[in-house]
Amino acid sequence: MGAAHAQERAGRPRLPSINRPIIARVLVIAGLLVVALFVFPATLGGDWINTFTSVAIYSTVAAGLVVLYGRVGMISLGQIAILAIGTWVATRLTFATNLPFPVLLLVTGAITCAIGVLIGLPALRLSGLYLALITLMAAGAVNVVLAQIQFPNGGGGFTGRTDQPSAIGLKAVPRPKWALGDNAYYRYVVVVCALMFLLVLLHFASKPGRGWAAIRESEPAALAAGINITLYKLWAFALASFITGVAGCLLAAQIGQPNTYSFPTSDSLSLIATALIGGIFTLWGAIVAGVFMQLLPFLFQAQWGVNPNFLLIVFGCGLLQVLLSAPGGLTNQFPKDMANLGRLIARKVPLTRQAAFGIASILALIVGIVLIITLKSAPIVGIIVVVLSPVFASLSQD
Amino acid sequence: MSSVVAFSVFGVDWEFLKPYIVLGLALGGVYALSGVGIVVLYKATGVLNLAFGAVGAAGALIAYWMVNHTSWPHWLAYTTCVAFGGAVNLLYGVVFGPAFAKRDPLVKMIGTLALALILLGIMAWRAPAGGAFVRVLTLPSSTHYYTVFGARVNLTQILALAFAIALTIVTTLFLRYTALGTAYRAIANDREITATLGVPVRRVEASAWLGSGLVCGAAGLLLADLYTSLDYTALTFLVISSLAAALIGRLESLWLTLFGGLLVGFVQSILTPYGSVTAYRAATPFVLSIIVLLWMGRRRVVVFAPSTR
Amino acid sequence: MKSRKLTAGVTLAVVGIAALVLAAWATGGGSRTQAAGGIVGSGKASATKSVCGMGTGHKATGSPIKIGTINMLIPGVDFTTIAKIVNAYFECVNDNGGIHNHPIKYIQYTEQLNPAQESTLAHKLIESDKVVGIVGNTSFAECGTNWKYYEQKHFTVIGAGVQAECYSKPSIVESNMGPRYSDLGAAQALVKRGAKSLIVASPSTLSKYADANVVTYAKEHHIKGEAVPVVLPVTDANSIITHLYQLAGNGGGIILDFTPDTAPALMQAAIAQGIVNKVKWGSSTPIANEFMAKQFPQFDNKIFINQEFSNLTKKGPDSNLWRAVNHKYAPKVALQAFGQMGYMDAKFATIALLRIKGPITAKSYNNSVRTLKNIHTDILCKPWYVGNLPYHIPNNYDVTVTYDKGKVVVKDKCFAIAPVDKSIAQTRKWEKKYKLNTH
Repeated sequence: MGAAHAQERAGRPRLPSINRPIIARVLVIAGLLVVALFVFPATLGGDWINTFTSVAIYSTVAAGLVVLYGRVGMISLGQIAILAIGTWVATRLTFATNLPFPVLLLVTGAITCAIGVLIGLPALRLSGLYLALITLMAAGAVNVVLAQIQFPNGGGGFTGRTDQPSAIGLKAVPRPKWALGDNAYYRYVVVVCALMFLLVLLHFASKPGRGWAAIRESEPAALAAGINITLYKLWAFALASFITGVAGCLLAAQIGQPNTYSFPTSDSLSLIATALIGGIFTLWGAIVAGVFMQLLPFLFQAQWGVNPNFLLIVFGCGLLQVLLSAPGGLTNQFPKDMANLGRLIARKVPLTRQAAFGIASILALIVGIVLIITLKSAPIVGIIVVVLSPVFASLSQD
Repeated sequence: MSSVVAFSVFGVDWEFLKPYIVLGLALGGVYALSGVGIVVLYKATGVLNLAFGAVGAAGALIAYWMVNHTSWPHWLAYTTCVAFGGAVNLLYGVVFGPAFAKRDPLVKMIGTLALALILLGIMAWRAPAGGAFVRVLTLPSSTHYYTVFGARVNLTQILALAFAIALTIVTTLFLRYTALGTAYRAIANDREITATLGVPVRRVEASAWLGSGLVCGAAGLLLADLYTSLDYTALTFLVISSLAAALIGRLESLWLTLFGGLLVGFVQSILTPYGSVTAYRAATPFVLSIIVLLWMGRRRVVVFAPSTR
Repeated sequence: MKSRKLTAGVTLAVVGIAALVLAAWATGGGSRTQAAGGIVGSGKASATKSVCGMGTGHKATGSPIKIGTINMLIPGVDFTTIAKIVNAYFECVNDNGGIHNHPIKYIQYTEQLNPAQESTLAHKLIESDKVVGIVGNTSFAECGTNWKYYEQKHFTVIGAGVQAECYSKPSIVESNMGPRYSDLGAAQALVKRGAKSLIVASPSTLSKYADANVVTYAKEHHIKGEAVPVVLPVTDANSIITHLYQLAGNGGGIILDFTPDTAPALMQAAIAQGIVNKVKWGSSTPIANEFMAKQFPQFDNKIFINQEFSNLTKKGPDSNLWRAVNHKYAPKVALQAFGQMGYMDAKFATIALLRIKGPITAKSYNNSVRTLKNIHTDILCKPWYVGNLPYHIPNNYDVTVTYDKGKVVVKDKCFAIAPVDKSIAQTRKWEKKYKLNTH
């Protein structure tokens, strides 16, 4: 499939020799999928598989952010609220109807998409800071509403909520019939998330992707070129909300009985932080974001016995470091920095102050994290080193 | 005190609502105070400081520790809280401000988000909450009560409101009539040109960070007292409500910010006794700021802004 | 260039110092140090003395028995206190011969109300760590997330609960009674003292579940009853208190159902608004401790707190041992109801372990747990039990306490929670039928 696609692309004059990189990328992705789908369940325990299911789900949410911010330049600080809405819709639908799971996924995605567009429509005239703030405020309002109506638990009415103790907790969002067990459901989630990523990639490669790129570079120029800015911005909101809604449905079936505690406000901060740290311009960054947000806390707490609160500090420092010296995030910057380091070691280029501090800042982050994990009796050492990372990054500027 | 006869205006029982009006204004004073602090910094540096609440909460925790675990005088603890707010903000502004100076305001704001995360992590690590145990920081002014229209307010609430009003007046005058204030406005207008005019831009910005930080520390102290239990998560995310006040002021007018804070507090409090909406009144700051933001965006303005890379 | 380097150097120094200052204030629990002393919990068990496990006074040296726990730890609410006391008791058991010379290894995980995380940790405990039992779970949400998984694995978890699922599912049994019944107990105390109305305020996420009984009870006694959900965190305590007072009216009753991180704001607001003496106050258990008593002398003999356990200062074999174990093995943890919960959870689990004849496995331990009944402890009003029941509410008799000069004193001795609730009525029927807690 990849080869034919590449050949077709090669036929077009404006993209000449793109065969090899595309084939290579497709092979890498296929390889990773094989590992994720077959190697992990065979070798890792139930708790790891559970964690990786969450990684896949939150990577999909982060992919929505890549679309919104990375491609169009619109930031949304309320994606976790959209996720919560998706989970709520899925839970309510599942108790009210008997939809087969794939249909439930699509319907949830569609409803969440409509809600996302409704929220986004009046906000489209705002840009940058103000759009971010309005999404933050909308998320706050959604949280207040959810705190009141809570999640459906099998009751009737619009909110689907019952408070009879005998009835509480008996209904759970069912998983697809042939993916009931944790391993099977994990594979299902990975496949669905991969499909969502594919959907986003298809968008990038076709008209909306080009429209978004134009808007990102310069809105007035795009407007002058005849691009319907409102339509494309709405399309981005729609796509991001759709895949977040699908992620919400997957989350509902993973948890079974969602509640408001699953969507704390601090998660929105963590999501933005990890998405930026991972790399907001490519979908690889979205996967890194999911890993940071879900796998790291599990490792810290359950595997290494480290206080998970340190992760907040790490995320904060990583975010600052990324904003200052590596806007493309880890997926973008790490290879460059390692290449720089390689060249430095080989003494091919002189050591500029910028390069020195840039490398020092990434090293400080990594060394700091390692120190926090290993020096359990004196984590302050690791924390000071981690905090030095953004300081070095700042010194590497201008 | 007030008479027992309730009079109805527009079908509303004002006798019944009077205490909520008073309490709402007292609460709004606190929102207004934080809001003014946020707007001042934004006007001078273009940075919307989302770590406002976290810095204040950290300062309050330090003050709490000093009051309860050392024998030092209490006024030293309160001063330390305020000074801590100034110091942390100043440090952030000096170390990271210049690096962020040329960036989009959105990026600057996310930088402060990072600061908030770091502070949250430190607070959660060093000051975990216990089961039967809660941290209470009570200012000496909280023991003096006054009855206003059927509700009792303490001196701290009155001080918060007075402080908010005084801060607005002083800052407005400062920005308009002093050289430093003019420098702030000039930098907000165009940083590069102001620098070429010989204004020590970095030092001026640092002073803005320091000033805003002192307000932040003071607000943290007042909020910790008014909320009674030092819940640093709540205090950190309180910045969102204060942000609503700043947004109602369109991030530019101090008087509108003051008004916005009072409005948010007033509306939120007034809704308390109405059973059908009372559970949703916590959404007041969000709803009001959304309305204002949408109103601000009603005229389509296409900006030649640098792309957010 | 030079001044930049100077700035950088100074900045680094200041950052370092600021970080150290921030780190210097230790208001949390640090590492514990073992207090010196004799062998706590050793000797022969009798009607007047409790011991830890076998009470031999010798350290257990065999292969460890693994027990796990998942406790909620979020900024503002820390339930790991319970796990710390469970661990303290288990360490005492290990110092006293363990379980037939096998020490207990207690694996503690914390969760931050993320259901995927809660599920992951449960899987990890049972499948990776291979624990034989789970003891001490306390959370706002974990019962709901994991009860089905526990049932599938035939585990019966002993813990302390808040939400509905902790008291309505077969795989979970608690040593406390939760807010739904504790609020009712407070309502009973207030009606007994002539309250003219019953207004109960709970966190909005619990309100419908926790307050239903109070409203029904008020109706039965022909007085006004209303539940007021409060969205946390509380930002305008004064308005909420004014609202509650307006609903209750003079001489009415206001019941607060909050933990010590929220209740002080409301109690302070009540003092500020001058209504402490105008209504009768009630509360559920969490604020029944000396810290709160010292903080709010204005409520002395005016607030009637439903206490799910015995008074903290009571003298009795288990109460004495609990305090001794707390003092020796967890000296940094203040004496509190969470400690009593942890002690009981651990004691019940130990009894279940000691009763096993044959190899100790997940199957044998959990089967043993389900046979527990008529377990006497002076920390509870009635003997505790598990039983093979569709749900468990073994703790359904309470005392009422109040503050008095910085101490907590008993006002109403053990009384039955009113069977307003079908679950309580049914539970009492089962107790009689299966003789689960006959004295």
